[in-house]
Amino acid sequence: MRFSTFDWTLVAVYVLLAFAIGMLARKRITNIADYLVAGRHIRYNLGVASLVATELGLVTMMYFAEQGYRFGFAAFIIGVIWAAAYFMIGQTGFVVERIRQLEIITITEYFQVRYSRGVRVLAASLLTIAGVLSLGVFLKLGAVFIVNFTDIPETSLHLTMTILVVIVVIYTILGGMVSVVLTDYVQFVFLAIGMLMASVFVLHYHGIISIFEKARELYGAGAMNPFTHPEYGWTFIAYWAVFAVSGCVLWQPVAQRILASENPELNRRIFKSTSVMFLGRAFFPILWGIGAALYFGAAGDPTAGMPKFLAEILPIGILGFLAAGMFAALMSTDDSYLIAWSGIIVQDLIAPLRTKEISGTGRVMLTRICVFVIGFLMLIFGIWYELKDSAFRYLLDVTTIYYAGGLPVLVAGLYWKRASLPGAYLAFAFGAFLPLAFVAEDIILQARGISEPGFFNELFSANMRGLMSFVLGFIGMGIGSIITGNSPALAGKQS
Amino acid sequence: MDIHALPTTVDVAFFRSNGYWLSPRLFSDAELAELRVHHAAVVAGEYETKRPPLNRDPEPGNTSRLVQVNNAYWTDATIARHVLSVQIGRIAARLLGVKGIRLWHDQLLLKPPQSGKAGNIGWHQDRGYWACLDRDEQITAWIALEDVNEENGCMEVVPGSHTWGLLGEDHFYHQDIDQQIARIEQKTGKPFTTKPCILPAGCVSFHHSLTIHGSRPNVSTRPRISIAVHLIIDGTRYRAGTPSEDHTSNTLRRPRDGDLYAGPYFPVLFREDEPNANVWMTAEP
Repeated sequence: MRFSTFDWTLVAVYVLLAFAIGMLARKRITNIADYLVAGRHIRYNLGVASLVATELGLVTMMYFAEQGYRFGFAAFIIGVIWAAAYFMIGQTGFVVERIRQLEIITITEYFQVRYSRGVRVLAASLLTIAGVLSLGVFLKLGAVFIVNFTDIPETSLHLTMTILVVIVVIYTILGGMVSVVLTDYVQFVFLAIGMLMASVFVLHYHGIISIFEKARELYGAGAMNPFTHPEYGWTFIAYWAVFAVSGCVLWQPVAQRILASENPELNRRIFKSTSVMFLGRAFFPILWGIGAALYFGAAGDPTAGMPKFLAEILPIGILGFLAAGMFAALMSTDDSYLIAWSGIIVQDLIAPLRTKEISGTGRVMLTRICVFVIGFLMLIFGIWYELKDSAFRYLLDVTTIYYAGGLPVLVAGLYWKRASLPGAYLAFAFGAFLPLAFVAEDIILQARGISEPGFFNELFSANMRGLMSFVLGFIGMGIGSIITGNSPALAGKQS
Repeated sequence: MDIHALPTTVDVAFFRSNGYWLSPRLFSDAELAELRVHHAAVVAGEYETKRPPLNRDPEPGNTSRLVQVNNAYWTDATIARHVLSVQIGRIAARLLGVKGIRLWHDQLLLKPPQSGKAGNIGWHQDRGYWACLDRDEQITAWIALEDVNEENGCMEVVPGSHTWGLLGEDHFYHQDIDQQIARIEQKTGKPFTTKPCILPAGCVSFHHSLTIHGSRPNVSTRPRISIAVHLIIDGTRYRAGTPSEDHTSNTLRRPRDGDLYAGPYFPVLFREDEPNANVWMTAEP
C-alpha cells in the first residue's frame, strides 16, 4: 500500500475542517434550515451544486465502479439513462412543475393531502424499510473503500464499519443537517477535482485508446453494447428508465430542492444542467472500475477492485486528496440519509399516528433516538448480511419497494382525476410485493443458512422483477381507482 | 355559484365602513340542495373522502349543541369545491382591497333547533383567536345553507366595530351575551348596536376579522346550517409568541416565526392576474 503519512494528514485536516465548519455553522441554522425545509430561495448555482453533492456519495462511486468492473463499458447506459431522465424532466417539467405549483413540502405530505393520512403512513413505512435496508450496504461499501484505499488491514473491515458508524452517528446528532449542507459544497469541490484527477490517471495508466481495446479483449466485443448485454438489455433499460424518473420525482433530497428553488423555470434549468453532471457521476467511477478490472483481471474482487487499483496508481498527495473527498462524501450521504429516514419516522409515522401533538424538543429528541437506533441497525445488518448479487442490484431492489407504488400514486394523483384512495393503497401493495418478497426471502434464507436461490429469486430475472413491480404498481392504481374510485376532496387541477 | 356577482364600489365602501357586507344570492337551489345533503353527512360523521376533518366538536351524530367541524372540506368533495371557490376568494379580495386570498380554515356549523342559551355564540372578534397572523386583516365568508333570521339565531354584527381595535373579548362560547355588552361598552365608550345578518339561503355574509359578532339562540324548529370560510391575505406569515400559537391551523405544519402560510393546507383561492393560481380545484362530483 502506498497511502502515506502525508495522505493521512490531508484526510485528518479535511475531516477536522469539516467538523469545525459544521459546528461553527450551527448558529446559522435558521437560514439554512429555511431553505432546506421551508423552501425559500435557492438560486441556480446553489441548486445545481447542492443537488449533485447530495446524490454524489461514496456508495454511488462504489456501486458504479463495481458495475464497470463486472460489465465494462456497457455499464455506461446507467449514467446515460439517468442523465436523460433528468434532462427530460427539466425539458418538460413533468411532475416537478405541478408539485412546485401545489406548494408541497414533502412528497409524503402530498400523499396525505391528496389521498389520506393512511397513504402517507404506508408510503413512509415503505420508504423507511427501503432506506434502512439500503443503509446497511452504504456502511459496508464505505468501509470496503477505506480499507482497500488506505493501509488499514483488510481483517479490520468490521472494526472500520463500527468506527465509521460511531463517527457518522455522533456527527449527525451533533451537527445535524446544517453541517451536511455546508460540507456538501466543500465535498462537491474536493470530489469533483479528485474524480477528474483520478480519471486522468486511470486513462494515462491504460492509455486513452488502448483502454477500449483492452476492454474489448477482456469483456468481449458484445460487451460494449448495453442493448444486447445479458446483464442489461431492453428489460433493464425500460426498468432503469422508470426507476430514474422515480428517483427524480420521489426521492426526498431531490424533491426538497425542487420545492426550494425560486421559480419553476429555475427548476427546469437546474434539472437540465444537473443531467450533465449526473452523466459524469456515473462515467468516472465506471471508468475506474473498468481500469481496475483490466489491472486485476476478471477474477478480481469487483467491489474492492476500484479502491485497490486507485491506491496503486495514484501518486501521494492525490491519494489523500481523493480519500478526503470520498470520506466527506460518505459522511455527507450517510448523515443526510440518517436524518432523512429518522425525520420520516418521526414526522410521517409517529406524529400522524399520535393524537397528541409532539413538542419541538420532543421531535428533536425522537429524531436523535431514531438516528442512534438506525445507526445500530445499519451496523448489525451491514456486518451480517452478505450481498448475493452486486450492490447496485441490491439497492435497486430495496428502493423499488417504495418507488414502484410511489410513482403511480404520485403521477396519477397529479394527472388523473379518478385516482383514488383504494387505488393508492393497491398501487403501493402491488408495487412493493415482488421486491419486498424477494429481499425478505433472501434475508430469511441467509438467516437459515440456506445458500440456494429462493422462489422469488427464480420467479423472474432481476430486471423483469423490477419492471414488473412498476407495472403492477400502475395496475393497482388503475384497478383501485376505476372499480372503487371515491371522490377526493383535493384533486388539484388536472392538466 | 354565480360567478359574476361581485361587490360594487358602493358595496366595498360599505364593507370598509361597517366591517361586513351581505352578498346577493350566490348559490343556486340545486347547489344548496346538494350542499345540505353533504353538510348532513359530515355532521353525521360520514366522510365521503374517508379523510376526517382537522377536528370537530361534539362527536359525530351529537347535535344537541352547536356543531363545529374544522376543515370539513377535507372530508367532502362537494364542500371542498365551494369552500375553495375562486369566486369566494375574488369577492374577499375585492372587499379587502388585496391581490390574493388563501384559505385559513373552514368551519361547518350547525345550530340545533330549540337550542336555548346553549345556542348562543358570545360576542367576539375572530382576530382575537388569530393573533399568530402577521397581517391585521382577515375576512370570513359565512354561507347560509338555509334562510337565516333572528328566529333561528342568525349572526349579528356590531357595524363599525372593526375600527375599535382588538378588544380582548374572545368569548365564542360565552352564553350570557347581554352581560358582555355592558363590559364592551364600558371598555370602548361606544354604543353597542347590533345588526342581524338576515340572509336568504344561498347568500353569503362577509365580515372583517375585527368586527364584533355573535348570535342568539335558535328558537325555531329547524337547525341553522351554514359553512364559515375563514380567509387570509396571500402573503400572510406566522408570528411567534402570541396567545394563538396553538391555533388548530398551526398544528398542520408547525410554523416558525416568519414562515409563510402557504401550501396545500392554506390553498390559494384567488390571485389577481393569475387565473391558474387556484390549483387545488376539487374533483368533479
